Amino acid sequence: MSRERDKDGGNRVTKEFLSGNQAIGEAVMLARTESIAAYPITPQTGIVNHLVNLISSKKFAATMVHAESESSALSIVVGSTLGGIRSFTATSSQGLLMMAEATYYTSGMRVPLVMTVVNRGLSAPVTIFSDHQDSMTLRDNGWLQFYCKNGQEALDTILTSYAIAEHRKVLLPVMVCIDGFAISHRSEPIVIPSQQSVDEFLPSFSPEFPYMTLDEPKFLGTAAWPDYYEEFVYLRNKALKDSQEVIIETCNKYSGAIRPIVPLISTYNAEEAEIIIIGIGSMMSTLEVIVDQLNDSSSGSVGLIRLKCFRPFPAKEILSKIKSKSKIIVLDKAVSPGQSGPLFLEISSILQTSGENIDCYGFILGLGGRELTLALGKRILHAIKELDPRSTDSRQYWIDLNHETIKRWTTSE
Amino acid sequence: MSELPLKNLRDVSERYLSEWVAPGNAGCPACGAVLAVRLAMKVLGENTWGVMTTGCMAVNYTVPGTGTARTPWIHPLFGNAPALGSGLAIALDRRNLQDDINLLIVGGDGATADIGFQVLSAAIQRQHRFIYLCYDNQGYMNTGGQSSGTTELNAVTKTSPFGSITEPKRLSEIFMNHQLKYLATANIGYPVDFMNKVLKAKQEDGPSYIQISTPCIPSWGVESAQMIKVAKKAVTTGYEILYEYSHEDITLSNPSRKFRNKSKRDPLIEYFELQKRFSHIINDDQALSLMEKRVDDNWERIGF
Repeated sequence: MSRERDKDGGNRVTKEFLSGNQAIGEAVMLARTESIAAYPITPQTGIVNHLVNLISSKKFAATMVHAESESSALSIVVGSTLGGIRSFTATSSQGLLMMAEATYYTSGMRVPLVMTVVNRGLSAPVTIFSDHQDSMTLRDNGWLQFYCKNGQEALDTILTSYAIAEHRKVLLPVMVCIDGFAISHRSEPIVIPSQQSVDEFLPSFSPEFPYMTLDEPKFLGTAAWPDYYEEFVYLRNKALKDSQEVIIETCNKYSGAIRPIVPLISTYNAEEAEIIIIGIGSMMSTLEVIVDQLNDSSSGSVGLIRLKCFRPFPAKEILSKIKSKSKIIVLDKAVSPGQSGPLFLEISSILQTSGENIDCYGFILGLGGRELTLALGKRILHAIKELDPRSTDSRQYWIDLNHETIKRWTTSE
Repeated sequence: MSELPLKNLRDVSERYLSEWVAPGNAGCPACGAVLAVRLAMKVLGENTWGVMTTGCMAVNYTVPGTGTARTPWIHPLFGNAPALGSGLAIALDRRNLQDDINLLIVGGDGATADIGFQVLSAAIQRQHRFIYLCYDNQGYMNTGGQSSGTTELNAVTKTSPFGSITEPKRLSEIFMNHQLKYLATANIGYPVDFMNKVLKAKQEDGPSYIQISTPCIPSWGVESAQMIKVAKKAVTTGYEILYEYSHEDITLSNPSRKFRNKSKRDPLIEYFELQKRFSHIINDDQALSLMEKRVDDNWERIGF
């Protein structure tokens, strides 16, 4: 890989052919991260490998720990952040669940660090392929959650995430999610901003709350009995809600200084459309192509809303785009068993309180790496013509099942 | 500031006037662990970052309103203290503060032998600079006295109501097989010996491990006024061996030196009869002779 960047005093913008994982590694270096800890898990390993290459070739001077588990990997970067340096970790799937306990601790302790989750389905049965069950399972852990569309957005989002996390109104950890393989392993030309522009955008690490300091000794991580605990939780919740303003402000700044970046949601053909499909991650890029083809071939026009930001939940922004639409289709690559998809639950809840009378359908699909195809897109649009929007089926419609397999594996008559 | 070894308690009171653990913690009266951390902090001083693993000591320090800490501390989760501590060590190193600020990680035997075992093992392997202090009271005393990986054979706990039937892990020997700069076993009945060990660990440029035996008043069934007596009996009966290990070299510590000679040891029963948790074996000759044999085996295995 040619490296022209450091010439001309680091003010050169370059374009390189990189996988999503490599793009994230580049962003972590551009952010001048000092401490990295990770444990290997497919499909996250490309990030770690790239960072090791950057460090061992002396392009990047971070301290990297190859931890003995994901729980420890996160705990190490919590420690280094509290100790006063910018830190990063990355994981997937089982690894994220192994971190689960420490993720709640991280947000409760208001530790501003950034973690990439390369989305992958959960065992059992084991899979290495992608869906959103891992990060969706941890959606209540008090972290900000962004879901990227491609490697470029991943790079830009890592950089903005540090600025958001470290903002004094936020002081919370940020999870930057990318789809396993579709983003992590696919290579594309990636624009890498100049080091100088990133340095101007992202000042060196100095959170306004001094964590470990001899001048003002504190006992961090204290117990809180019933007369205090609820206020701690309230304040973390408030910081997460209020982070939306900081996200917008930070992304506007980044868009002006470096490259355009989506803060909360993006839309495609949403103004004209009668039917809106709402979803998350790389499948929304695939859907743009499908929507173009569908709109060419059928009368009812279809538009898209992609949530880049899932936590805090951008309710107002979504509502403003779906008012006066006739139908909404929510695609979930995760499921809350016995209920419906997590994204469907969020969207139907904001529809309930908004008083909008829009039919809302929830589809479960794309689990364990199953692809979204043009044919499937057509089947979805056909299915909503027949589904009763008040039926249970319409809340979690499993559109893409192989019924032969199900028949063979059903355990009861 | 002298860093020479302390000779006696008078030395301690002359050199270390300041208290870094303030009065008013929520520990039981005569808690051995509270005293251990207080003495360790006297040696380490105000330029110390501390990590206090979940357990009795975390509760003692963090119950709202106690305000025991006069230096910066973090209470992490139960099983991740050496990992979070590794992060702090990296930050100190990156900020060039590792020679100015000590890093102390405190954990009970449950955190050390069980839930945080692999975490400490890996943190030592990475050679971060920290002192790990394990206060060993042989059980999960904060949750009411359940068995842990170091609970002694025959000891009654909430989860071994007829006496523990498993051999405890030989923790210090396990960590002797790690690449520590310094390892020591200590006993709260011998504060000068313990503080000298902390002093040595403080001067090491890498990981050190000190395991201190600290009686638990309620769970061992000991009178508070007898805490130090019970602690000392563990050494004078030869049941516990105090030693140091560094650079592949093992040295018997002063308080244990005399008891290499079996005839100088107090009868082992004198240790057990002070504790209710062993009351069921006091008249059990078979159990007692097995316990005595284990003491001899320990001395032989460790190589004194």
